[in-house]
Amino acid sequence: MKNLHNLKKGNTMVLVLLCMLIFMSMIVGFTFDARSQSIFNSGAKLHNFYRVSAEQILQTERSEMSAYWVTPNTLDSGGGAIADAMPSWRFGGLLRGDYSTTPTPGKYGMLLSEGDVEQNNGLLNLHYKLWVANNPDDPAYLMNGIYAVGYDGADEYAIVDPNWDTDGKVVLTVEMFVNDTATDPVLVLSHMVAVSGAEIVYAGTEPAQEGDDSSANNQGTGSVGTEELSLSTSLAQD
Amino acid sequence: MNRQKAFSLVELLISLAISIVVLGGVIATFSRMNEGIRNANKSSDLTTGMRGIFAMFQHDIYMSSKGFSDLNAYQIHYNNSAVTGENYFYSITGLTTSPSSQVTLQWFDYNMASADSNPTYAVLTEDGKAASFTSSFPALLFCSTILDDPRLSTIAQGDVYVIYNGDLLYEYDWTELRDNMDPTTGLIDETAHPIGAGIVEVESVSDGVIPDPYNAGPKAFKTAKRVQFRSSGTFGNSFTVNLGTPYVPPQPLGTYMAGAVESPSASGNVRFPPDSWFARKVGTLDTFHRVTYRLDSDTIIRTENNQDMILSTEISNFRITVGLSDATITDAWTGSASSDSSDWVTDESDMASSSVAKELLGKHAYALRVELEKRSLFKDTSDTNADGSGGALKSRKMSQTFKVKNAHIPLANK
Repeated sequence: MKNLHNLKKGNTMVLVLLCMLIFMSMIVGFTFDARSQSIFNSGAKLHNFYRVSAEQILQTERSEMSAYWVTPNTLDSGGGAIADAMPSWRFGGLLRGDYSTTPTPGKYGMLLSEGDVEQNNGLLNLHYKLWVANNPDDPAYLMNGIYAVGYDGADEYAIVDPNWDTDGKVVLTVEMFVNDTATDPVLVLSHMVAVSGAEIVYAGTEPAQEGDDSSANNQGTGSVGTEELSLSTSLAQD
Repeated sequence: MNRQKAFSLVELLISLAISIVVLGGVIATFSRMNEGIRNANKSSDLTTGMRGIFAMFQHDIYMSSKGFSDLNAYQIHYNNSAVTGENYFYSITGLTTSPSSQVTLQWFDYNMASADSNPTYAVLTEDGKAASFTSSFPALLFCSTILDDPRLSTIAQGDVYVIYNGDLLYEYDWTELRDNMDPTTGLIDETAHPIGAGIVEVESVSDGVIPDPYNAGPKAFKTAKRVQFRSSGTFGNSFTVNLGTPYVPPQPLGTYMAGAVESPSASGNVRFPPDSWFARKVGTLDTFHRVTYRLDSDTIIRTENNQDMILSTEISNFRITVGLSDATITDAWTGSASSDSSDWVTDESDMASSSVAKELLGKHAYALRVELEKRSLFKDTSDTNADGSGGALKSRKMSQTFKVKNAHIPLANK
């Protein structure tokens, strides 16, 4: 069909399509030229996520370990003191699982806590298990099975148990899992934790009441309560 | 005759000319944009490559600076026959600028996760008598109070142990350690205060016979293995000095309080007597890593256990400096014996005694800084000549400082 000027319809469309084809090919060329760069490969990035999460869990739990500390006391004369008292001293109770309603021993000691680590992006949420065990060169570990002498050499013995904490050092181990049903951890990280200081803190029972520090500043030296143990711990390699 | 209307030759030529002009402009623009994207990609590659080097440094420094956990309190004697001048095992060593900046990091894959992976044993001499850990000392007995302790059967050729005098862990606290340290260098004077330790490799293992009086009574050892150590190699036991105090036969095992007979102290200490020796497994040769970073011409090479890996080429500047932990230590380095004038040290030979320099570096390194400059493979087109010649290669500089966790304070609780 011809239009008024005897030109075939459709010729303009062909030209337009040809131009569009040229521009589209240039755009496609731009697209294939662009590519994304990554600092780490995905494995290294994920390892970093796991390690940082594990370190934070260790630091958090370490800072709360004063709740499990039993200060050693002078043994009273009389029977039973060594067998009853010594096993709980320092972190001994923790190592036995005294602070758990369902003590769960495992490959890395006694289960101390379990939980989830939430990432902001929501796609890399992790599950962790935190274990506590006695350090392998605790004298009690090395004297495992022999007799400990009682008070003043009296006829009182206890068998040394590897879970006696005689040096105030324990090993915390974190296992990181990709979810709470996974059985193989993606990261296992251990640190030795040791006591670096202990202090009895005196505080007033009322906010405006003087504590025992005699400073006349109407402030105690600790938190609410009359006497508290403030225990500081350190990672042995920090 | 039917004549079809079509484009005339003139129309075609004109449209062709217009198309060429338009397409020429488009292609020129496209070409410039393409070149800009390629340059950006090359620049990004440059940065990414350098960041990869820093990622490697971060990993190696993190792994090496963990050391041996609480055993970092010791100066662990070390006799690597392949290396001269390294008398102690330190995680950072070999800092030099000759012929170019270079540093060595070394560590074991050691995490104390369980007594099965890193066991500790009490140590006796074969005759139960006093001895000195001199070069090629005799075989030792690794002992257990458990009959047929299965852990003893895992001792194998190639295992690496740190043998140490237990006083530093069990008898001393940080005040006593401080009192035993040289106030200037912070190092233990082993002549005045022999608290020795050494790292050794197992050569052979056999059943051991426990000497008197350690083999009888309620506090006896029940099982022992006789362990012979290699005298040469990476962890040879040919130490140049005695490992601190002679080994003193301990009193029979049991609860012990310093200066008293066998009875528990007020704090219920279960202790070995002073000068008792112990052996802690820190790994095997397979779990040992010795990594050296150096610049060879314009190539950064990372050598791990004698295997080279090229990290990057076109490096125009590579500099490693180490920050020491406090002014006292830095003063010991930058005193009259040293030519370094800042708190960052670059070369062990700057000190008159390189052995003391190694000890300061190994014990008191606090941070490690890496400075890097890498040339790209493309020129800055803004200063090239019209014909494309001339112009300088673009380069990128980066530096990063890494923390070195170098704790060396014992955390013994008496």
